[in-house]
Amino acid sequence: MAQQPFRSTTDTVSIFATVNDKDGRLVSNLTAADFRILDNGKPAEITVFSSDIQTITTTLLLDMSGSMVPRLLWTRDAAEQLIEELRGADRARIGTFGTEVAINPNLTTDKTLLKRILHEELWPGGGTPLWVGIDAAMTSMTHETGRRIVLVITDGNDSTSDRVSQGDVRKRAIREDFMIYAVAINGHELNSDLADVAAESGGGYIIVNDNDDLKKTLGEVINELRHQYLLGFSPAVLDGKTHKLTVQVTRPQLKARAPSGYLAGIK
Amino acid sequence: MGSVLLASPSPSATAQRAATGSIVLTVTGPDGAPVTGLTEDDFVVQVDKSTEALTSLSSVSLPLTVLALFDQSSSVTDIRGRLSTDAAETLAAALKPGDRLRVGVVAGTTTIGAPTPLVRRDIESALRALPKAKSFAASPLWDAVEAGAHALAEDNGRRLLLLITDGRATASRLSTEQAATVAVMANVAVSTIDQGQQQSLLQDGTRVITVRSAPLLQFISRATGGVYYTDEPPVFRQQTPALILSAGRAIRDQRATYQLTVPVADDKQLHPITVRVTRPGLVVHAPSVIHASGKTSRLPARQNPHPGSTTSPDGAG
Repeated sequence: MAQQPFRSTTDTVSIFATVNDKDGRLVSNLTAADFRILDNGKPAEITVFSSDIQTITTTLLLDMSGSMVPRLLWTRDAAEQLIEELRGADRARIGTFGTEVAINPNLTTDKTLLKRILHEELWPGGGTPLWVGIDAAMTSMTHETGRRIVLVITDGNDSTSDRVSQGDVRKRAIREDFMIYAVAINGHELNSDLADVAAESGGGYIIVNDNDDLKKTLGEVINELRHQYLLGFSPAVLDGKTHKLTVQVTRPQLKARAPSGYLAGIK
Repeated sequence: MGSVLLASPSPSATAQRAATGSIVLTVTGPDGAPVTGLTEDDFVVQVDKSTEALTSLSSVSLPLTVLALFDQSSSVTDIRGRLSTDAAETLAAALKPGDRLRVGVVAGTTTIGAPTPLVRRDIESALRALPKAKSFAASPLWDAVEAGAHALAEDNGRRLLLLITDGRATASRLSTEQAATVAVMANVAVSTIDQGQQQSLLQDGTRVITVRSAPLLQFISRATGGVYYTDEPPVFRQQTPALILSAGRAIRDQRATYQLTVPVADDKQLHPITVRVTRPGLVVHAPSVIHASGKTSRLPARQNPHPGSTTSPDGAG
């Protein structure tokens, strides 16, 4: 059963964590007792826990830069499949970056509307303003409650951002609690910048090749997002600073992915 | 917001014809020039897919109230550069005393200026006063059409929204059809000047697809009784001053209009209407829907999803 959105407050910090086994398989049957949270290196008591199916709120951000031109249909078809995978209260919006950074205002459960946007608003060409695009996608979800995900499909490094840097995006994702997922298409010039942002935000980074089944990959991302764990704790200190966060699984051979930090707001 | 621009008529819509409704339309010949002198016998009108006899037809030359809306999103400015004030001369030459003019830009947000005096110097100033777009500015064209329809809705005369764009619409809350519905409800004809180009793109090393912006621009022009202008590929190669000449033509084409009145159901609904002329080679530019006079619902309230979008009131500027 999907649960109500839960967001960090001053008193309680919420974290979404993904757990995989040593073979990369998703593990979704853990309990609160299986987790350990370290806040600036000190253990914190877990006061909120849920392994329910999580509702998805995402901006799907598609790279429309010149190098993606030969992959326009491939990407659009996969995005359409992702929309089909949405269920119940899941909501998505479509954004693109290339010549323009264009985030559609409609954040909706309406699959017909989302598909229309995919068919009418993808205009290939231009550079790769990746950071401006992700920043705009985050801004578009500023007022949303619950888990806020930017899912970006791209084949390259930023080439044209003029007012937002990788560092800006990384800091904002941590401080404002956004989760960045990236599906990176191999074959152009990938480097670790986007992977670092995804990892620090507690999201995911998946490399695919041109011959891979992108629809399947996006389906796996959706499945992963549904089966993340919600963990919450009360910070010992509210000092207005960014705290280092570590989420561990106590069972052997399991690994958790979660944000690397959070902003401890001042009470 | 519902729309009937593409919808079939409901059975109840054809059951009653207790009122009349009017539309303003233009007719062009094979050379694209306006055609005058047509009579009732030249027109065939269907409302809700049922042929209706005209209640009246008059040839009218209404004063024009024009919003010239320039797409200055990055897909335009990266190729053509910023809006030049060359438009001022063309607009001033095409407009006559009694007409009204506003200018505006779409560039991430929509900015619509106050009515400007119809002299070149003032129009230049109005164009210069429009905000410059930031880099990577999006193209919410259909939301801009909605904003433009609201800006023109209270004006008298023939209401023309002239959209000069490459047609690469992005980030609109509204669909093309929804924007067209708002324009029709506000009695605003949307004429488009297409600066875009068709692209053939090789996909997966095998398939070629064609990316075109023209269909949606043609749709909104056709649905609202406006005219679609393009000269592709020459228009694409032309620079802004030459394109602006098309704006002058688009304005002049609205001088010769017909006002046509037909029976229509006495309700607050929009009803599909098709108008054609029996003489060969002539094209009718008429709205796709009609409503009983005085019966239409109010324009739906605007939701502004683009922070920073502004419309100057009549008295400002």
